[in-house]
Amino acid sequence: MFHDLLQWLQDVPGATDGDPSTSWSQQFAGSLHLWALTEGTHVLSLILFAGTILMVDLRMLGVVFKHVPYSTLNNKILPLTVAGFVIAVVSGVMLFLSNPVHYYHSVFFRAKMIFFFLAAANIFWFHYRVQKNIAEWDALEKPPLPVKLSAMVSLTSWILVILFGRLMALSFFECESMPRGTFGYVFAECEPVMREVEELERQAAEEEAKAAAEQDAAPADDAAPEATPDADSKPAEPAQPPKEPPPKEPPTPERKD
Amino acid sequence: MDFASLFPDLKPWVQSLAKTDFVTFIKGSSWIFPGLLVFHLLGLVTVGGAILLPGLRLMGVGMTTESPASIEKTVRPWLWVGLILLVISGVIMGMVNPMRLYTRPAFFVKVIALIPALILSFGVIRSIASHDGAFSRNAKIMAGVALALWLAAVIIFGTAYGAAPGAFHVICAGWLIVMAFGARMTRIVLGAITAVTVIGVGIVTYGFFPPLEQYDTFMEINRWTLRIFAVLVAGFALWEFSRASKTEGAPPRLNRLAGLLTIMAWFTVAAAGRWIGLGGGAS
Repeated sequence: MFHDLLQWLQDVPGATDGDPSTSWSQQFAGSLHLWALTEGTHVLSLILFAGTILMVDLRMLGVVFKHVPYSTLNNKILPLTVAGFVIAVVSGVMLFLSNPVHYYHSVFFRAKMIFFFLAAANIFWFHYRVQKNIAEWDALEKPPLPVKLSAMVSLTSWILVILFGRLMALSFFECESMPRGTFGYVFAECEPVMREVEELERQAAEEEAKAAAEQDAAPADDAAPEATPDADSKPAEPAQPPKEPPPKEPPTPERKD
Repeated sequence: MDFASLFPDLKPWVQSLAKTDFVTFIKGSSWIFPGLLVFHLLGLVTVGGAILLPGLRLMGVGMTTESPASIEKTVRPWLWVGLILLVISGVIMGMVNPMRLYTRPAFFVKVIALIPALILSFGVIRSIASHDGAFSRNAKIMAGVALALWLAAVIIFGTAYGAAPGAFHVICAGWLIVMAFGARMTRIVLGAITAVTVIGVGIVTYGFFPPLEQYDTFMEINRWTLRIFAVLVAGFALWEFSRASKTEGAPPRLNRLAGLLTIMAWFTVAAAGRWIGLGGGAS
């Protein structure tokens, strides 16, 4: 659905001379430290965001701080949760934009988003419905069922968001490795990705066949110019500095732990 | 600094860890290791909540209607739950990749920061909480040792090859705490300094030393800016949380500093852990 838009986002904005590798998205993905720092920020913001929401949810379940009114946590702790949430979302959006097509077709990213939106819906439900009669249950050791239910939904969905978020960073269940027609393949809309992969493979095979045919036409000629692998590439412009930063360390941060 | 250069004799033992049947079993499954990664994160979150609440309370913010003792007692079981999750998942993951932990400075930093974090949570904070806010002599000695160890950990973090960029997060955490809980004037001044620094360094580096052409100068400017900024943030935090507070019922200054130090020590453990997978050291 958004495949083409995201492909455009990944390749076009910021690109000079139509070279996709110079786009903002790809420069960010290939940056020496910025990507890793953003990813670290995303993970560490969980301490603030999920760490505090865990305590608030446990109070709603009547597990901790039973003698403290819920409103105390709501007023004193929830602002910290919101701050952590903002940091997590900003860094998360940045990470998504560093490789949008890949994440868009990731099974785990899609699962993460489902539970993210479930958690968001739960927040609205709690805020506009459950919290309306807060005066009745604020000081109760064991809040009524709707409050507990909301806390359970919140805890479960945030745990699943964290779970799928962690799995997103690993390279399994990717389009290339899932057989056509399986649930994951359909769920991640792998068809356009695989069509592109097949198209590239077909082109590569054609190039190879063409090169082999040319070799046959001029046999035993060592001085024959090598076939250009990329037929579309323009002749190299002279005096053009390299676009990539000097490879001091591996230019792309290692993403798989 | 890392364990490999400090204890070179341990190498055969470390290498042997990865060859045990247990590790072969873990590696044989495609789900166990990802599962451990997830449990490690969930442990981090649980410990995060169980550290932040009592730490902030000692600083005089957060749930101020409750006594530090009541908060410490309430979160204690959750601190244990989180720590057990972290240690079990962490030890198994470490056994799968033992040479990585052995050679990487980030792991060394993590261990050095873990000592003051444990001292502060289980020694200092618990002592202050159980003495109704009073900072005993023993607790002061423990806090002093913890402060020294934490400073050592942060300095190693900021200078270790490959792990150094991660120290940025420690600075950010200190900055956020000052900006969230500092007095109005402090926030305005630090905010202004931050804005000027970010814009100024941005103009200087990208304008005169673009990274694609003058990479080394670009990085050197960034490095020194961060070092000076770290000292600045530390100064602001120290001044903000150690001066006598005007608010009624505010905790004594030493208690506030102990709360801040506890949060920072645990955060350093987490931030260093993030960089174990990212490189540095001779692996």
